[in-house]
Amino acid sequence: MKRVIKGILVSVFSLMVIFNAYAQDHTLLIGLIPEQNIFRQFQRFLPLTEYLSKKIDREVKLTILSRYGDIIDRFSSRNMDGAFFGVLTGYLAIKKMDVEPSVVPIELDGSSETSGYIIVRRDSGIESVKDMQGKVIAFVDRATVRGYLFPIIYFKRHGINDIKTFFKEFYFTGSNDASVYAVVDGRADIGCVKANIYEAILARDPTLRKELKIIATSPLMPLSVLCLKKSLPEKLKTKITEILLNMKNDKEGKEVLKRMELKGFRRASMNDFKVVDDIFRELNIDPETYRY
Amino acid sequence: MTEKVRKLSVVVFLVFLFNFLFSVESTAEERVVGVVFSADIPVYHEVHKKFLNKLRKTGYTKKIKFLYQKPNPDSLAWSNAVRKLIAYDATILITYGSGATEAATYETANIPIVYTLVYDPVKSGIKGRNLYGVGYSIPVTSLLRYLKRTTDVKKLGVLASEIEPSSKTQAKHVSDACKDFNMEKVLLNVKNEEEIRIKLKLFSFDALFITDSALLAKSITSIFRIINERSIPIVSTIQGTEDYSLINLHPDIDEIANALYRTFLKVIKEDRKVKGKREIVQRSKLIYNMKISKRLGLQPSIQLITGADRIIK
Repeated sequence: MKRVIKGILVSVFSLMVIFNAYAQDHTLLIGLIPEQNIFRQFQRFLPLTEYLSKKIDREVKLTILSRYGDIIDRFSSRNMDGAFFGVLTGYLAIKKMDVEPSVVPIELDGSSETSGYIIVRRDSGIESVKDMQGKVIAFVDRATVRGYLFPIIYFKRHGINDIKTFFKEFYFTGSNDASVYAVVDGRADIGCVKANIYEAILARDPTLRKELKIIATSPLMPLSVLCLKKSLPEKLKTKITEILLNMKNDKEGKEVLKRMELKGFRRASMNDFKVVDDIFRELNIDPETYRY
Repeated sequence: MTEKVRKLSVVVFLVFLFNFLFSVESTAEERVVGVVFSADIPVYHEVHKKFLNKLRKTGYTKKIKFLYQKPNPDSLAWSNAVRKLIAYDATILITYGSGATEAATYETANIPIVYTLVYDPVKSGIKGRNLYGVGYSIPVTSLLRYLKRTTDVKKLGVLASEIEPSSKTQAKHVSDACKDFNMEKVLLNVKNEEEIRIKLKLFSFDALFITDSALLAKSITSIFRIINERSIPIVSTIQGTEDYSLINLHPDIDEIANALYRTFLKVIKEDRKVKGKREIVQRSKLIYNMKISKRLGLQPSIQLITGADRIIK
């Protein structure tokens, strides 16, 4: 009798484990970086998860990170299957973790890449780097190229090796729109921002065009890159990539893209990270030990 | 007796000589610096305290006798305050706010004047031969932008003090910006507290912009009482009015005090070679009052929450 009960218990437990694994297997967790304020970012990507869930017959969930660098640290701990990485976090994730690039979003104007800007107020009197000495600069996050590494290399090329002594103060706003408004409000003299987000803010509020100006522009880099865990089944990875590449061709997909203010997606490759690789080389930084 | 008188005369002479020498030595070491606040308001006290703390470290405060005037905010009182300080042989005048600064430029051309907390001094017409100082600029458009996002404003009341150049200039900047934000401006020029009460009750508007003014800062509680009855928001650029304003954007007080200290040192050292008689502080602090937002039943602004330097809950 005891053996029968034991057998039943083992069977129930085994079923529970199998069911749990099955359930886990059926939820795909995708991470997002806070490139805009997190509420806007979450609302923007929500339609995509619903669309993908239907297409792959598997629940797709979003998780948004409070800061850029968290996406690397939490990718494994939160058991994410993929993430829309920034170009720098994507580069670091590929170097440090088992992920591979899948797709890059395409903006409504057809571009899949954007620059970084260094901006100031028009009435600030700042025309070049020499006018920036003793001022306050707002970066986005240490784990961004356009919002941190590009400005660093730009200043280095202009003879500024130590931002701590050159600027009166520097701080990280955590998102691109917060950097723009820090400059607009006069809470920072100089701001660093992703160009497409800067342009979107100015399109929403054209009065800002009178108040802000661009001092420097970085080379073009992908807007963001969806990277997927290498350990996901090959078939699933290919399916996700193909769905995203082709969603511009089906009615429902088009509607989702419209809500996301995107034209579609294009295939990503390692070439998308070349600019970051060059910056790391020029700054002589080891990606493995880079502190973000 | 004659010997006694002689000895007494010598003692008296020595006492007089000592007193004379002592007083000469004292005036040679101690300089009188006159300080005029355009009104007795917290922001002037705060900047002055920070300025003195910096000055104390250099040891200068031991050689300076500060004389203070904190008149009521009106033109005559400012002039009288400056005249009193001139009569007390002030060798430098420090003026807080544009009202007292303008009065000082009328009263003296010989005594150096170091002004502070003056909005856009060039456009406010603050000029004079012996004038040094610290002005500031504030993007008033930011306040209008945040206000627009928080509530629907079609008519903006712009409260300005006619007797203060800073307030008039800021009111002009706000009025100009109203066009860009599709707002109609209702300009309320006032000279005293009585006029504030009358005009605020007389005109209708959806929100009130309080420009930088000693008179308006001093009258903030009565302004708030009237506006509160109408349940409309106030935005302001005066530090110290945060508890009454939905959104407040004011110049960074630490930067103002540091710039005042630098300018004052140049003047007291009579360092004519140092370039620039004027510094403009452009850094600002953004305060969002969620308590007021809640009371007025407004939707909390995510941008204000994430961007504000301080949130009043």
